[in-house]
Amino acid sequence: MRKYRILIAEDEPAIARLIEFKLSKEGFEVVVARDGGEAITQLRNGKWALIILDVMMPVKSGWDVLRELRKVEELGQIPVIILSGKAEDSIGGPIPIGNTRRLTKPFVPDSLVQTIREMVGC
Amino acid sequence: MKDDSALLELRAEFVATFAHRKQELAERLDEFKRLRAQGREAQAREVGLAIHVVAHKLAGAAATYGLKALGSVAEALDDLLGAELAGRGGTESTLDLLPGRAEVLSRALGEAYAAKGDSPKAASSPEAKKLIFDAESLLSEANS
Repeated sequence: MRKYRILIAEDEPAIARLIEFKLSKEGFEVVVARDGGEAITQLRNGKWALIILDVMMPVKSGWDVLRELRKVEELGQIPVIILSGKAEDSIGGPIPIGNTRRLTKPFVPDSLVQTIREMVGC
Repeated sequence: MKDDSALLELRAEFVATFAHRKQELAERLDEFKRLRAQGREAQAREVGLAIHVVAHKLAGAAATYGLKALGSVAEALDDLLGAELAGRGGTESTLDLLPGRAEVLSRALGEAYAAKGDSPKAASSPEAKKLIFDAESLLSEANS
């Protein structure tokens, strides 16, 4: 059975561990990047079914990573979930580019899984 | 969140970090106060932004793990600092009020760590209620 590979870019270990645990349990292969710079490096060096990007991260924000990602042809269509806090949502933020959805913290892990399955079609 | 044993373990791991987060907050606050006392307002503001990141990360994680009381205090500080320090406000009173506001979060972290869970007592203190009220007022002003 095909394993879908997901990159989580999240610098808060408690959130990264929770998502990693939940997605691994659901059968996804998971890699965690601890900042936006590491996320860009991972993106360029692997094949990904979906990316989860926290907004507020060291080195590069989730929005900056998304903008860079969408400029690269072979990465441009990868589904992305932007994880934002309520304050970030209240100020709107940039309009999501491409196949992108926003999820606000706090999030329900089951809802995250459902969103992922919808976006990757599995 | 379903309470199966692995998730409870993850939550316990998260709660175990509260002593370190409280210590980090205390160190940032000391640095902030020192810089302000020296009249180095720009550097103090930078440390204020670092305190904002501490509150922001804690707000998202606490709420996601079901620690509603701690999450509400962290979120209020996150909202106030985010709006006021990150360019959507930023008055002299922001820096003046920061230590007192950050202390509220520090007390909530201490209670949550000691209780190995949430911090309902700290979150219902008059200072915490004021913090939450101020954050809600600011957001409703921004949205009107």
